[in-house]
Amino acid sequence: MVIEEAKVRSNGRLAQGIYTMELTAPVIASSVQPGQFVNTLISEGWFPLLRRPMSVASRSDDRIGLIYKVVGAGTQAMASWTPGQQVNLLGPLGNGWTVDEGTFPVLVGGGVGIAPISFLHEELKDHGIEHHLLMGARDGSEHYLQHAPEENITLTTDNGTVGIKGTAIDGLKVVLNLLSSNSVTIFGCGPPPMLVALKLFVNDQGLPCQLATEEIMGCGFGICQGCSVELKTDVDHHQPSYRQRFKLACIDGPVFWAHELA
Amino acid sequence: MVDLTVTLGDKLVLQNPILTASGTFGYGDEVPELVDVNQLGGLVTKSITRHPREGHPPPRIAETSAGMLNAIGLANIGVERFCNEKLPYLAELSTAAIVSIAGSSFEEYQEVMKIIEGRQPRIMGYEINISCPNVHDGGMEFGVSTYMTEELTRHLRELTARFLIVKLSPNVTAISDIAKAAEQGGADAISAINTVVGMGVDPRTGTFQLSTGIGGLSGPAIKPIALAAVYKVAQAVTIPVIGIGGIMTVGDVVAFVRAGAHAVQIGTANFRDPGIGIRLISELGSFLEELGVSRLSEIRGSAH
Repeated sequence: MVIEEAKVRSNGRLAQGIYTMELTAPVIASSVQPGQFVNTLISEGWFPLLRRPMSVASRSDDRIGLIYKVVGAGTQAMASWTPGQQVNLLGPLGNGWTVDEGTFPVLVGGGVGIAPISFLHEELKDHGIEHHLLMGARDGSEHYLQHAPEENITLTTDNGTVGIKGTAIDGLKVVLNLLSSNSVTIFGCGPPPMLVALKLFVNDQGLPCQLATEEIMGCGFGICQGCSVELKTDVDHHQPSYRQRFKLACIDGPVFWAHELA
Repeated sequence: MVDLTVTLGDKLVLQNPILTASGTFGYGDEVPELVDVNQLGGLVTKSITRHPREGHPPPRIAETSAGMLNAIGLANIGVERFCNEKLPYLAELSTAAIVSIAGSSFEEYQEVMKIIEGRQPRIMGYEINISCPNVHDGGMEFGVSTYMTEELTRHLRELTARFLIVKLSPNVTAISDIAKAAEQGGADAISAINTVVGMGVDPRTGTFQLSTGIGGLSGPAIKPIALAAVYKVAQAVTIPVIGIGGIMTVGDVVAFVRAGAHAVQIGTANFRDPGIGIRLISELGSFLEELGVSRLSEIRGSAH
């Protein structure tokens, strides 16, 4: 973990409402893993006061890429950054995904969740690990990939304009039916409704699944204790405990096993 | 040459007036690669309770204009783990290590202090958190009553010869009365302020921004409230005052000193930049030099 003055190389629209930024950040780029994030200082002034956690979407040589959705003041400011701009980053933070050999990875992303999923997709490609990538969106304009199930890329849209009509979970059912492998691990990240639906589906099916959670964060490195994530525990809630029922997304996560989440 | 050392009463000398505030810097050992805590004037730990605490469900924080709301709920490892895992590290520090204690009863505060004192630890002192607004049993009932504040301070004073700071809440009718009660009870210093009671509501859904509904506001948004509190308290007591509340710049540090503070604690700013305390120390030297001031005592309480 370092604080690094990064420099914006490029910043622009990737799809409807979704932006991508590339930054020169050699120290962070040298060690960042898929699923990890950087905490981005948005303003030298006091609004927004807090850094914004951003999942890293790619890395190459001395650069990292971000993919972000413009949702509030922080991401609006980010969308206005131009090449050459200096950006104060804290990272890499968080635990990242763990890919075990011997199971077939199925990656499920939607909305802002496409960032860590894209990174994992690229890393698996680089390592020659076969896997399936599934991306969900409301409308075709929010997609930036081509629907190509034969190349292990499946897209879904709520309105059916691109790929399979339905949610990412509907798409996942189709993909799982077509897979010959009987041992899969699912890697998921997306907006809260998708995460909830995915968690329910995989837990119901008994499928191993790592979910990257998204929480409002203060510091990103464990000292503010703000980003609590509730886990299922056998611990009696009347027995005193610490970070068993409520883990912290920034240092215990952001990736958790779906069966552990409450 | 500017002398940044600060003498608090006759017990404690700090190498500079910049400390980290409780709950905003963990136990000090979280980010060794980013911050050399020994450069700080001191560090106040996360509040310790008798037993571990999970804290509140999410969401625990929300951003506001120039501030943040929190409802962490005193999540901490409990005094036994604290003694085993953190005291040895704190003992090695050359900066002043101050342990924050919270509780829901006289007995809990006393028990926590007894257990720590029983270890004969190499720490400089305690800060008594009687002002956490976030849990029913987080001490705030003590911090709003002069009687309870004095009694609790007196009980704890009997247990330790170490430097004893009482941290006050701004959520009271007359903070100077509470400060006087702490002084009367035997406190060595007052720190002020803890967070200001606040709330956020999502205008579309109507849901609270914090799981608890009401929480505590911190950050630059509360600086004027904190300055007024420090000013009032410094007028009311003879013991030193440590200013806390929205300090982000060296100008803020000096403003608190001019309002009457001997030292300050940096809180929410650590979340943006864990190295800010150390940066402020070097900036403070230059700032005072420009003013032609050689030590802080020359300008302390000079607000007029």
